[in-house]
Amino acid sequence: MTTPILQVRDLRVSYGGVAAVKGVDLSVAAAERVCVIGANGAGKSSLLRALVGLEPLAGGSVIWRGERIDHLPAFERARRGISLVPEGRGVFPRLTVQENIRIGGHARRGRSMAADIERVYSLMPRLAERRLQLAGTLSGGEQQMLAIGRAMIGAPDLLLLDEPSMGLAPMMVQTIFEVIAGIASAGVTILLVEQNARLALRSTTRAWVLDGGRVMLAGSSAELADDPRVRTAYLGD
Amino acid sequence: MDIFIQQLVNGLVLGSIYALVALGYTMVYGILGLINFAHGDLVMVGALSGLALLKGALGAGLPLPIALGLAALGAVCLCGALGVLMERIAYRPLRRAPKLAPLITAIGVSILIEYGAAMIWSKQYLALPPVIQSTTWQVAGAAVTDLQVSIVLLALVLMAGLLWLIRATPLGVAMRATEQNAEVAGLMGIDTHRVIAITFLIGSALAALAGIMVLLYYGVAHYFMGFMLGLKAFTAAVLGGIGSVPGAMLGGLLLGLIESLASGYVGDLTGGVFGSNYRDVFAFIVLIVVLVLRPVGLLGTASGERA
Repeated sequence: MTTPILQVRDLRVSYGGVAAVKGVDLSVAAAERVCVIGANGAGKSSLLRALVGLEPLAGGSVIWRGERIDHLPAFERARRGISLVPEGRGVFPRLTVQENIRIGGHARRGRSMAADIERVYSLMPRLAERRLQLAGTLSGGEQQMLAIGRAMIGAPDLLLLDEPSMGLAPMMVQTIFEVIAGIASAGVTILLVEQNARLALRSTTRAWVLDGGRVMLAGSSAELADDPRVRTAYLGD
Repeated sequence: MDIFIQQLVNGLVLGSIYALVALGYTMVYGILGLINFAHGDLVMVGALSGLALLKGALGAGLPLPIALGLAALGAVCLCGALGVLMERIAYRPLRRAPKLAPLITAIGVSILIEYGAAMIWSKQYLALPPVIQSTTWQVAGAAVTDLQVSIVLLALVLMAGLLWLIRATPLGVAMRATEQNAEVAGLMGIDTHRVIAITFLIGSALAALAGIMVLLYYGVAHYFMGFMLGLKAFTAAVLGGIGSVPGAMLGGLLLGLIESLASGYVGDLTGGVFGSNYRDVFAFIVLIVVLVLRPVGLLGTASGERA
């Protein structure tokens, strides 16, 4: 493996003394597609939130392109090219679709974003049709597209996605994952967190299985999908 | 009829001032969910510092328009700095604290500013030197001064400018995004602390200008003048729908008009039992009636009112 762009060492997160992530190590290379799977409460979301600066670390370090970033506030990490599409999408409901998309540009500091906005609209024509509508009036799937499109405007090098399939109809899930695959093929590194393990393992090359705040298994996604422990616990076989 | 028009004019002036102050309350509430009780005191600081600067500038022999401009500029800078400072020192450390903590802190900041001002400028009523020579016009039977027209026009320009800033600029979009979801705004690369500081800066600058208007209009300033004015402006913000910027503008203008018309007619309507000194009572009665019928205020939305 080449030098990783993201390295996480012994990362710990706790909420009021209760440990949610109990020492996780992972490393991701540029342009890789990886995922973290696990049951509800395994610490997946806490891990992502700590990576982007929404939760303080109780221990460990986050190294991005060789530089420790765990002391930086969330907006500084976003400006360094790390973008999270949060659980529940987090679109701004009383801003228009267009305003939501343009907001993504704060992460890129001045570089022109007109071409990227057009690319997002051509990738997701439903957003283009609704660009003057308030985001709160969109369907769940459209909001998920908006959240991903908005993250793309920041021109991230690493895109973190927290449960992008949650609460969506199967057709919409498929569309969303096609969009994610398109972003990945443009060279963006993808770190996906999913409860839908089958989907997550199919869309990535490497994976970690989180349980009780610790990494239980790690390996290639294809191997993990065949692992009997993963099959019984997470794939429902 | 003459009284009606006259009180309409007076109410418009008063309402313009209320609206400018109400904007500071509503913007801070919208973005932090905090009632900044110290906001009214910034109006007082604007008036008293403006008065001191005006006297100084006139004493140095500067012509009135330049002296007035310098006084307003100085008051805006001082209040802006004070507003940013209070956010940084008093409110930011309490960002994750229970809601009651910043509220009590705001009351403390208010007392601090009031007695700080009393130490600097004394507890006396300080009069504006008689330098403003108003021209009075007769319009439809009412007396209108050039000062009144200037106050209303300046207030309208400021409000239009603020609406443009919030609706059409990247900063405005960042402000609205921070208001709706500060956490996600941070994920988008927005420095939300900075956006909040700018919100305080804008509200404080408007309060300073309102203070200058009060000083010129009533000709007097006092260390405690911000208390009642702040309470009225807060009422106006609630009347319009707290958190709503157009609501604060509408609420301010309405409250000014109601107060003025009430003080003009209360004596006649009650056969002299209540005089015009009861106008405050009527303003608050209107507030109560509006809140009973429409608890979110005139232009407020349920979603804008965060728990």
